Amino acid sequence: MLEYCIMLLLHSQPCYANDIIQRLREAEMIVMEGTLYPLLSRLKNDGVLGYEWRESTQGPPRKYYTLTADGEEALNQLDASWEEISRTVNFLKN
Amino acid sequence: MKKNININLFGTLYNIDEDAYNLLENYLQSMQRYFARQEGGEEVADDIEHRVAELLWQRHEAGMTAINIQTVKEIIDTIGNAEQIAGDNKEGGQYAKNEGQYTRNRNSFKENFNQLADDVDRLARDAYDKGRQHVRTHRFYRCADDKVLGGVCSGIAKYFDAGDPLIWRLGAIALTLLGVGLPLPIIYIVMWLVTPAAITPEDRLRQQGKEVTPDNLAQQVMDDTQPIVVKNENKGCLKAILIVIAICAIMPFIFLFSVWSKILFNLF
Repeated sequence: MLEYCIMLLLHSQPCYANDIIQRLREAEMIVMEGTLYPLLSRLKNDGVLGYEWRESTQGPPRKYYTLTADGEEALNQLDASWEEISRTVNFLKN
Repeated sequence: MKKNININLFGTLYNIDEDAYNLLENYLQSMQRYFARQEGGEEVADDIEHRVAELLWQRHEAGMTAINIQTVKEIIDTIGNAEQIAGDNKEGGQYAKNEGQYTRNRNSFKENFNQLADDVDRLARDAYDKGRQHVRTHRFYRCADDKVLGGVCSGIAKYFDAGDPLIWRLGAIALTLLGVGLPLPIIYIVMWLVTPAAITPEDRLRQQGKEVTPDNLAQQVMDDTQPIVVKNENKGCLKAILIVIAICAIMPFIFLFSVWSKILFNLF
């Protein structure tokens, strides 16, 4: 679930950890910061995410994560199954 | 007034109080050690260090001139509070009690007897499970901060979660003096030499039978910021008595050994 959110987030633009945490907070997806890093690292090792270091004008260098081509594909699949699930749930709820 | 240290984190200089620095250093190191055991863990630890830098930098930008221990604690709370940082929320460590319901049938003696046997069996198994659980989670360490000689007795008290180390100490001395526990001083010395002292936060967690998770580590690191008072360090006379007792207790063995070796020598 969290994986899906992060992939959605990175679909629109590359982000670094601080952005991701901010965006998740805005979306009221409560997440412990500490859980995020192992997750990002795992997604990266699975080839879903890539990253590059960018020097920021101030402050420490930032690790910007992006969705790879594999990641885009996986996201499409997840989108499809999400659609399916939400259709089912909505149908049953109404 | 506090001593202040300058640190350079990814190209920015920060003023940080000495105690805050120690806490931060301790925290980062234990994170590193924790993640070192996992695949790709170094990277995660590195990410966390970057995050710490980021959070420090935000405060720096907001006009904070010197970083104090409160700030560092806040940062640790933000990052390290995750019990499942590594995503391992395994059930292990939970001792599942079997709360079986027993319906008693008072009509049949045999059934009652079986019931009793079952109960005894269950109690024994529970105790056995508990013991195994204890052995699995706890690890023996000598206490570096509560010791008269080597901290073995307080280590034992900690290991068994059993009361005041003083009782163990007095018990050991009493047994030795009564002659029952003559080998005790030797056992003591061997344990002193062989077992490690609890020094790092990880050691102390294992000593208490807590799992080494980032959350527990963070907690332990925080607890450790309280200045460590080495108890009993100055009880020189008690130490002297103990050493005398130890020597007295060892003497007969040395004597026996020399007699024994002489006999052997004469035989051949």
